[in-house]
Amino acid sequence: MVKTLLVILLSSVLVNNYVLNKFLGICPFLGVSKKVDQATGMGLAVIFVMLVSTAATWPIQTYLLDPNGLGYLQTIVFILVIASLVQFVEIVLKKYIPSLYRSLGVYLPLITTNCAVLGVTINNIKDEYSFLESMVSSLGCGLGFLLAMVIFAGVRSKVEDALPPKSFSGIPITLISASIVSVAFYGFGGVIEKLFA
Amino acid sequence: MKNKASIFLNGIIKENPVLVLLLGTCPTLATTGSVVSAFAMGVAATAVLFCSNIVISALRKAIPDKVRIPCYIVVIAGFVTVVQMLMEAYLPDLYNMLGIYLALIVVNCIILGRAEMFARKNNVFDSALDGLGMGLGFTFALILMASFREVLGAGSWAGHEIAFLKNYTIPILTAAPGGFFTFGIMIALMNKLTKGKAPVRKSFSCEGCPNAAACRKVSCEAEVKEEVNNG
Amino acid sequence: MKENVKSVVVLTAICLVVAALLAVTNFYTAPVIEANKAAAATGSLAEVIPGATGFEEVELPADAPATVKNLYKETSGLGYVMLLETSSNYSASPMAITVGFGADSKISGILLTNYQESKDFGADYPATYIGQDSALGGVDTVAGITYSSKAFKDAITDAFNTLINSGLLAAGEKSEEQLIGEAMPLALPGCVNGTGACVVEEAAASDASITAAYKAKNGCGYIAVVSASDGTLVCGMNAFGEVKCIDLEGNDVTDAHADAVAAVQASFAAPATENLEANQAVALRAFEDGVEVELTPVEATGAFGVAVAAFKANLGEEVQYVILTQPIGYGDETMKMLHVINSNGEIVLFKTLSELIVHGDYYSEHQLTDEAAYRAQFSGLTESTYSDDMTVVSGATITSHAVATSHRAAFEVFNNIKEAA
Repeated sequence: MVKTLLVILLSSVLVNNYVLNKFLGICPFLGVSKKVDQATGMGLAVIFVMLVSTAATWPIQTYLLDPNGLGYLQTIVFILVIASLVQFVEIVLKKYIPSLYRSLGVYLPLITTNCAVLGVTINNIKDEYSFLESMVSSLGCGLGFLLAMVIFAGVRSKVEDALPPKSFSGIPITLISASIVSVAFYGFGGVIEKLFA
Repeated sequence: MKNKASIFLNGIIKENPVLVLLLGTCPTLATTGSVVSAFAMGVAATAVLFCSNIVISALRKAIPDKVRIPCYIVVIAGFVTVVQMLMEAYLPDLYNMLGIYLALIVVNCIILGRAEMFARKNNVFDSALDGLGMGLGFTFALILMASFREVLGAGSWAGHEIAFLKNYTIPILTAAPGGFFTFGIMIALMNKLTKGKAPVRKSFSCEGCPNAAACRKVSCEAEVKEEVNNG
Repeated sequence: MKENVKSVVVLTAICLVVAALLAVTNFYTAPVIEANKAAAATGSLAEVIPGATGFEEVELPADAPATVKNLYKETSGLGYVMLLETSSNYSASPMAITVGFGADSKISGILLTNYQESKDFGADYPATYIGQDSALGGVDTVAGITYSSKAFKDAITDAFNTLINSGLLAAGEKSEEQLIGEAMPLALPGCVNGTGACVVEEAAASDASITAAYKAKNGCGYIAVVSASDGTLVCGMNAFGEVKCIDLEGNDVTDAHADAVAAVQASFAAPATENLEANQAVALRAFEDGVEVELTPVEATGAFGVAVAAFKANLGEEVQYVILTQPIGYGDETMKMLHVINSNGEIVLFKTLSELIVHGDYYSEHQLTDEAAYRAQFSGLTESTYSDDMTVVSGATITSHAVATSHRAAFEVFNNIKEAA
């Protein structure tokens, strides 16, 4: 049991990293990774939203859609639930925990319709995870996102000082740095299976 | 008539959603490992874009401004699901190939972006043309990138083996790192060929993504337009 | 307020219309999707039975091995299909095999659906199984990836056994050559390597009744194929010159075939006697210089393991036993090991005389970081306190296995000497 959860957690953090391996959540990854503190805030917000979304969508799919043969409404229901949930959380945070809102809240609107969040909720259903496994997998994906963001922000701060050829400055060099960071994560393939074999 | 043609061509070249506007990055990177999946993604997105543009444009007077984004999302998600179901039923191989990325067309910035920037302000026919043009531009960019990755990475094109490349493949190009790399090279090439005059957006930012507008970042729309216009 | 009401109404209306649209699409596509899924599930099944029209799942017998996952019956009686999955001990991920059995009890088709190391495996390997009956006479393991190909072969054997035991297939006839091959490890267990195959080289035998003779490559004894009046026998001679004969059904028939035993004993010289001086010199290395020790060779009857010699060492008041073993290590190379066991059955010393090179699964070849500590952990153990798990060095399956084999052989020899005394 614990082993299964650990495998799910580690493989979603390292091997199937949402950003670097599955290309989900690229916009914030490339957009908000200029500074490490921004990247951390964004990453934490994503973890939070992923957990909340999974906690909401898993029961909806399992107890509402599937028993009634409405599985085909998944996409539409999930996106609406996630969007309204995030808005709701934002309002609550703003009103009751303004300090947290100031540090995380600003990132919330940016990730409502982030494909990583929708992706993780759909994937959890697709992989037939139990509720607990889904939550662990969401946590793993979120942590993986945070890890990728923070590492990449570090790399980028160095790249910003470099002088690439003119055609490469800006986005191209950012993408190529991302490619190299992705290679590093590529090396984790197979590690998890071996670790728990 | 010239005006209509320019609406159509706009999406393919001048405002190519992938190479110029840098929208829809996720599917661009994820599905371009092979030409077939890139083509499938392009066609699926084009179908959704075309339909949602028509419907949103037709309903533009009926939808209150306040709830327009939720309305758009519902319409788009509806069409995505329709495409999903049709593909699963009649093209199961492609459906399996695209996997989760098919459902994620819902959050593809291009589609919501066109609804927000074009369809809600123009008539049905123009919107349809815009949807088609943008969709084809997206498909074209995807196939271009996938061709590069598949030919050099797997020594084949759309599954057809290229004999003399077979022993000289660079497999990492078809894997995740190759996606970032190829995209970077393509944009650099775009910069080089147009001598930096292409109106390629200078940075990625969520503020620039129309999806952020969905969440009250109204300013972003103007920002993107401005960037595009200024080059 | 009025605007708010309108917003809600419009949004609700759009939601309802979209939901209705989806329901309609679903109504038309759902049956097609169901049919696709059913076809996909049985699609790979049809590939392994040519001409198959449909399948129904059959419940597996309760005693089916863990490798057997699903069993399907072809509805028009063309045969059976089995889905197999090997344990993941052999590779990073288990192999998934779909195998079809025709009505003639032979393999009609086989697919390796998931295997990470398939590149090394050779795509042609699974195809060599097509047309085989349960004897699997025409297939072999692949050198270099012996473990994986053995796992593959074992899985197919499991499948055959399950079907034969439940009366769905007829057992194939094994060739004499195969039966001899299976009897050899029984006649001389010391000859087998980590994958259970006997590692031998051809040898000469003088007696006319011996049709084939082999010397165990690790020097633990000889194997002879003897044609006796009531059929073929496989006889193994251990290092001490003792002979055990096995018939082709795998029964020990030594007592009934004194003539065969005599013929084998006349043909070969017992390794322990033949190499007495060299072995004695090796055994002396177990003791420090200047220690007064008197070595006398002892025979351990009944020990057919990897032991090649045993000595009784007289150290003044104390008596110890020195046992030389030669298990088979990586690449089927012989490894040399030595045990000193005191009269209470405790290991006094475990020594490796050939370098204990530890080989990894694929490409890593690394030496045990602290070999002395590894060897020392066995000191003081007796047969009851020792366990094979202690020998395990991760990434070096074969070497660990060799060490375990050596320990078991040493205890076997010690017990036999004790019993005889």
